Amino acid sequence: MTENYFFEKFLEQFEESDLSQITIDSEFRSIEEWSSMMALVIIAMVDEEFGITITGDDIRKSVTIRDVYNVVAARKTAV
Amino acid sequence: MIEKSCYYDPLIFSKEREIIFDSHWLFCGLTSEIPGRRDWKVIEYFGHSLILYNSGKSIRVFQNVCPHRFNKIFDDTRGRGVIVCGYHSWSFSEEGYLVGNQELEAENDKRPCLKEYPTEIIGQFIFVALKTPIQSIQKQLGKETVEILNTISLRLTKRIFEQSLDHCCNWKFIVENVIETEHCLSIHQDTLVKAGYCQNSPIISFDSSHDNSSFIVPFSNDNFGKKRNRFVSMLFGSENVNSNYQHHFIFPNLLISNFENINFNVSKLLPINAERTLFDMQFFIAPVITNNQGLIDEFISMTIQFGKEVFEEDKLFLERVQKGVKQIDHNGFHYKSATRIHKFVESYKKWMLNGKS
Repeated sequence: MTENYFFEKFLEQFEESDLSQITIDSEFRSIEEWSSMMALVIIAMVDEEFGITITGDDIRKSVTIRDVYNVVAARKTAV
Repeated sequence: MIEKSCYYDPLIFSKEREIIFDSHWLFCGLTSEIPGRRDWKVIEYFGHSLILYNSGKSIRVFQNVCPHRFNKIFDDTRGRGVIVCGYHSWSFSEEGYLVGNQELEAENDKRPCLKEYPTEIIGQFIFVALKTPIQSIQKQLGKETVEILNTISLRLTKRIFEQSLDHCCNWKFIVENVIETEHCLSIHQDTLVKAGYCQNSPIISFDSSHDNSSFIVPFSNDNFGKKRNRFVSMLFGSENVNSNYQHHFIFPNLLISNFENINFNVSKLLPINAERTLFDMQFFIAPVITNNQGLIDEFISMTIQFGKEVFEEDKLFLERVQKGVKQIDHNGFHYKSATRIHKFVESYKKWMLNGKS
């Protein structure tokens, strides 16, 4: 799993927002489409794409997309 | 329309209790709340304190009052064990008979026992009759409703939340609120509407020979809905999901919301007086097919939050309505399209005027 691939998959979950200014270090809650439901979408995407379980708390503690990536990467290494 | 005083007059409330609640089978709980032998639960209905008791062989409903010196037996709402009155340690068998007090038993021709109420079970749903019911449970509910209750019972596998919300309003305002969707666009914009549950018109159905009604609102399959489908199918399997929101009102006090066949809210109304009603609710989710505990926990957390918000949104307005009804000099209006309300009004009037539906 590369950082770029994760970032790409993360952004794919947002279909209605202007993502041109979003980088991996952007705060994902600043994306207009973000809602509590998006946390579930991201958890499902991480399971489907990377076979890793993350929790709602992991998302709540994260600020940027990179923070989420780091949780997934750490868990992937541990598997 | 229902005459406005019916929403606050204590004399009318007493009449409702006698004509409607004392003569109907009332929903009082689910068998899964007392799953094991000697599990019990206490509920309060119109001043009756009731023990729902699992005897191991059947579910029984007893009066929560000791026949000896009238002490209330259980103060807690739930527990497990033999029924023992704390005042003189009288204990009762699973059938409600006094045990272990031979002297007293010998002195009386009639063996003391707890008062037991007639009880019927449909699927997981327990119904009790506070007085002698005027018809059988099957006749009261009708075939369609019995089928609905049996089907839903199979999906109520995991209870995720329960609470009693004390509403300072008449029980009929709660019924009228939950059986129409017209208010959703105004007060549930950030919850039910945003989640796609109330964007389309409801398809309403009645069981014409009974007092129950239902609606189905097709789920909105916009981008939001599509996103939702991604985790919903992972959690529950797409073949188990219905793309709609269903609501059932089972006269006089049972309300069931079925969201996509994956999460459910089962509620009962416990009227306290003409202007106060306890809204007792339980949330459930259907069986999950994933092992992803992070996804399950987050879905449960979101579902609870969602449900609580919806009920709080309603409560705010219902209590304002209760204050307003006393100030106005007419009986208000209903949308023509709110046909479930018209059906409820018709049933209510029939019972109050004739004592039968």
